[in-house]
Amino acid sequence: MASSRTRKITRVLLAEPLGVMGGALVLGFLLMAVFAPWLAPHDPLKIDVSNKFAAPGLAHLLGTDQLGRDLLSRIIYGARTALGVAVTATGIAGAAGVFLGLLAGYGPRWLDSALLLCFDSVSSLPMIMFALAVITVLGPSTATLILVIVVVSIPGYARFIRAQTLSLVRSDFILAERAMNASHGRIILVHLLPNVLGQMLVVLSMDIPVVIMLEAGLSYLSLGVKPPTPSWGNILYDGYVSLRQSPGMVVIAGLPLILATLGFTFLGEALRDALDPRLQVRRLA
Amino acid sequence: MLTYAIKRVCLAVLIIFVVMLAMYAMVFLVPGDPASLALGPRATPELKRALMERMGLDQPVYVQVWNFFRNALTGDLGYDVWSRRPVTDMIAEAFPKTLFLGTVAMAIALAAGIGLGCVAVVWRGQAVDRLLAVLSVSMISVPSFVVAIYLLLVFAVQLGWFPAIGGGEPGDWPSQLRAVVLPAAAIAIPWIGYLARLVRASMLEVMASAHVRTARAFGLREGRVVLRYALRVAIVPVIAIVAVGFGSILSSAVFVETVFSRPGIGTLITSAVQKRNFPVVMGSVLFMTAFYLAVVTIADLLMAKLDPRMRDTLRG
Repeated sequence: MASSRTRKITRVLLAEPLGVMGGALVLGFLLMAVFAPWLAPHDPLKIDVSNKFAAPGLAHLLGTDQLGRDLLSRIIYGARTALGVAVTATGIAGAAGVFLGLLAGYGPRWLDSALLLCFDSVSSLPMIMFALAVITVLGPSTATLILVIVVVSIPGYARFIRAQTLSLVRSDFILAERAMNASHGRIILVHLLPNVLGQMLVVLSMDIPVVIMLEAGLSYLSLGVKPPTPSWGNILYDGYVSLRQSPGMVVIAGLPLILATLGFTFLGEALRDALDPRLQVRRLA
Repeated sequence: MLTYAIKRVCLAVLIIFVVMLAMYAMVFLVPGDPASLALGPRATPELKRALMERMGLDQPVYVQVWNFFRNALTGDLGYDVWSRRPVTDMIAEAFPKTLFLGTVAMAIALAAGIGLGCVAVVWRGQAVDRLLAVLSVSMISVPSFVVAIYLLLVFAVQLGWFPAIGGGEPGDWPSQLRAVVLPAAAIAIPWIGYLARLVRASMLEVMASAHVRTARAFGLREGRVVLRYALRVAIVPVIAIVAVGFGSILSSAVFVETVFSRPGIGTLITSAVQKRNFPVVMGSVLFMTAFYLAVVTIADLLMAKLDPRMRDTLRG
């Protein structure tokens, strides 16, 4: 049964050209991130001032920046930074969100109310404002960046899991387990957790482009990943500063961000459509 | 309704309180004090003590928290550590500019988004509709600061149609309008995509309703049915989204203002964070949070007045 479902999902995905395109882009960026040391033609940190603002050519496929560093190599290593931050942050936030969501949905009422107030407080803050406040206190760094993203993402995930848990708790099979005197631990680990995880993964994957954007945006403001570490935000900032000397550089520097966010979004949309059975019926009919 | 309103306002006030307490707690949980962080490693002890005093960091924590809240209620958000200007004055100067930018951005987004949404409905299922669907998703996902830089490069640097820097001359409306076009467009683009999608979905639902069928039965042209009869009803969810969207528009203003070096709350906060100008950051964040919560609360109350079913959401 599982394999026929997988086949169906694959079929729906392949029928969606944008989904395929998104998938290809995502795969490309993933490969870039994993194999950066082998793919990058140059050392992304190697400065060669005599060769600054070189136009794209055979020696430097995408040209060089204001310090003569190879732009292509910096973008390839930047994929590592972007995806590293995105996967780490959504991973931690997802795990914490599942834990707190189960706690709120399954735990006593007072705990639920207290957690809801916390979730609402955090999520009612304008996200960027909160990020800036935290960065002022902790100082800009990759770790601060991940912390900020984790904290602002948890309420959404926790609320999602809480809603799922609340509807599951009222279902017959949990009631039956309770009647058989199953422990809370067993109900949570064996019954609730596996039932909420699947949809959670889709939600998490849809958030990856948002996190990539946030990392680049804050690094662009020199409030995220610190230079000289290659990050798409830092590269874009370097391009922005040298806009008048070398306009081509800023155009190239913006492309990985646009392609990555588009790729993840198209893939995410196609995945969601493929996994949503109501949409599937309509599409396959 | 009144009970709901009181509950909703109390919740907003409570949230602001929790947020400020959390921010204060954070400052005291981190190793190192804000004064030495702001001054850097070469600060003399005297300099540090003077700055601590100016920031009020030499007093016990509870006194600081109490003072901050008491002063904030009377409109005093403390002083800029470096220029010694009152933070309230700085916000009062910067905020109208950001509000202007946000309003223009929202106007562009509404006009273009509703227009594209209608176009998609009139030609639904055809090539135009499919093209617009792809375009909407692309617009939603593309980061606004990248768009801002591209717009700056093409229309300000290469073509020279709009200024690349600043918010226009004070008091000179035409120059201010010219300066706001590019940044507002950059902020509006994700919202154009989002609103086009929302309007399309909402319209399709309305198009299936009885009053539209009646209008059709009278033999009205499709364009007229869409604009005169369907849009009126379909616009309601858009209004709800616009209020919440204002918060996110103000957030993208942080990036876009920096790209265009526009004076405003975004550039104020960003430079304060970079210089670790603690009172300015705290004051501006508190102000923006309060403003955002006020807008969302008012929007919620309006919606609740229009549609009593919405009041239940507080319990969820």
